[in-house]
Amino acid sequence: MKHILIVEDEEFLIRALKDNLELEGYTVDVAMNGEEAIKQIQKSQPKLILLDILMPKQDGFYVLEQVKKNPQWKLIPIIVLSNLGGDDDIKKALEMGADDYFVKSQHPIEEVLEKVKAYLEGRKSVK
Amino acid sequence: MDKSTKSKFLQAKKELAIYKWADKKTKRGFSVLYKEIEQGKKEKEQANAKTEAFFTSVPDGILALDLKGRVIKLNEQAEKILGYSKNEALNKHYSKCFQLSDGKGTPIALEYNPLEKALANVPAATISIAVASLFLIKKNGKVIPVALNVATVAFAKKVAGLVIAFHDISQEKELEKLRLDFLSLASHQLRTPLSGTKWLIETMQRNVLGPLTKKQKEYLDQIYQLNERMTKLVFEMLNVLRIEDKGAIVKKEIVPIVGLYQGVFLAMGPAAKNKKVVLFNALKNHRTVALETDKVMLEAILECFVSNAIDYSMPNQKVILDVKEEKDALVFFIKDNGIGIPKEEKERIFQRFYRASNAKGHKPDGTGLGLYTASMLAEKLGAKISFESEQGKGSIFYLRIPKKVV
Repeated sequence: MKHILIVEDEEFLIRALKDNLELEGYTVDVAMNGEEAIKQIQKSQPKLILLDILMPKQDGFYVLEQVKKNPQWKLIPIIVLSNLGGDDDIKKALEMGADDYFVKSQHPIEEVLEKVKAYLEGRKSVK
Repeated sequence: MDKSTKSKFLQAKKELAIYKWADKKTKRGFSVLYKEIEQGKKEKEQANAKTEAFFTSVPDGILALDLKGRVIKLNEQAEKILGYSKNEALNKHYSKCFQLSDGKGTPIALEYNPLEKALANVPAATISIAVASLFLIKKNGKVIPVALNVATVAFAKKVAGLVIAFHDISQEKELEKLRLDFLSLASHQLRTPLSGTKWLIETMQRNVLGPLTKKQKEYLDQIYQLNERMTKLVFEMLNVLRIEDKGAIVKKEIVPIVGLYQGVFLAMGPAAKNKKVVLFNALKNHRTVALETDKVMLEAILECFVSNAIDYSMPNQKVILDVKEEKDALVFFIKDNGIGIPKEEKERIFQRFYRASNAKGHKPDGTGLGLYTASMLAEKLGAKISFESEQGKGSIFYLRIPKKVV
């Protein structure tokens, strides 16, 4: 079964993502900040990470940096789901190795689910 | 004394009196002349002192160059900003002390250097160039943002050189950054609950929690539409705040209108298709036309007009986008046969949040910010917006934009 890590600090967004992903047949872990995310990745080796940017303790940029510099983790696809919509933020995340970037308020959850499927079925590969 | 001696004596006395009189006159004349010279000297000194006082007291750094680009004068403020003393800068080429760069400290190419441009054009015409966002490398290597003005100086009807007035805008840049950071954060905080509502409703609409009754589905769809409307409003309001920011800089680039039309049609195509409105692209007649302006801003204005034309048309109606060429300007026009604007409301449609009475019924989720935003952008580009409209028959919106941004 495909395992996904959601890194998000808002309960309602976790809920929406978790319910939809589980219905699609994925198993899901949740980390509510960047520090917890690193621990979870070590523990459960997810096949894909859905990553928020603004979070307490360590932010999403920190997680991106840690994952992409680690040879064992760098091939895990990372889809950034953030409401930071500025060009600079998007550019920074993509340059740091994020594979996709969605501004949450502008995209239906179905689009996110479709993207997750594309990565996990190998139709889309990590940069 | 014999008669002739007496006569000679009298003659001599007369001449002496004349000499004395003349001498007095001459002395007085010289004295006047001397006074006048002194006065002239004083006035000249005063004028010099005034120029010097002006030079030292202006808050800008000032650099004067001769036609070969050598520094012939600089004020204390310029020394302070640049870090070079008068001795180090005077009589040397300006590039020794006035090195313009990009934000990373890489010296800018000669073709983009406003001083080189000015020096190359000097004999031809009096020019004035104002540059808002350039950087300067100080003597200590620090890179600072500067705003500068370059103007030619004419003396006795001949061009004598250039004067550059510049100032450090680090503080303004810092404030602009704070403002943009605040907007970005405010935007994030407002979007987060809206995106949560959106995804939770979508989860229910996908029947993830079980099937919904017809009535529940209708209610949910309505809540979803309201949430989308709120999201759009937040997006447009923040956009307005960004544009209203005085710091928003107009970029200049050569924009061929062919590319512009294609961009606008690409962005608006799906909306037109949804509404079954026919978009007519008249660009093929203007393949060679280009203008110098900010492409993103111009596209945003045209997209606003086209989007309104689509929104306020009926299915199967036509929206035409075309351009007329004038001597110094291009006039874009967007014509529709839609609902039009009521006569008594024509003056108000550019007001922030204003929506015409017939627009509300036709499209309930408009924000009333589109034309306001377009008019602000037009102002920044030095362009003018006007329109003709008749209720029930349609509208034509015009954007008259100079071929070159000054």
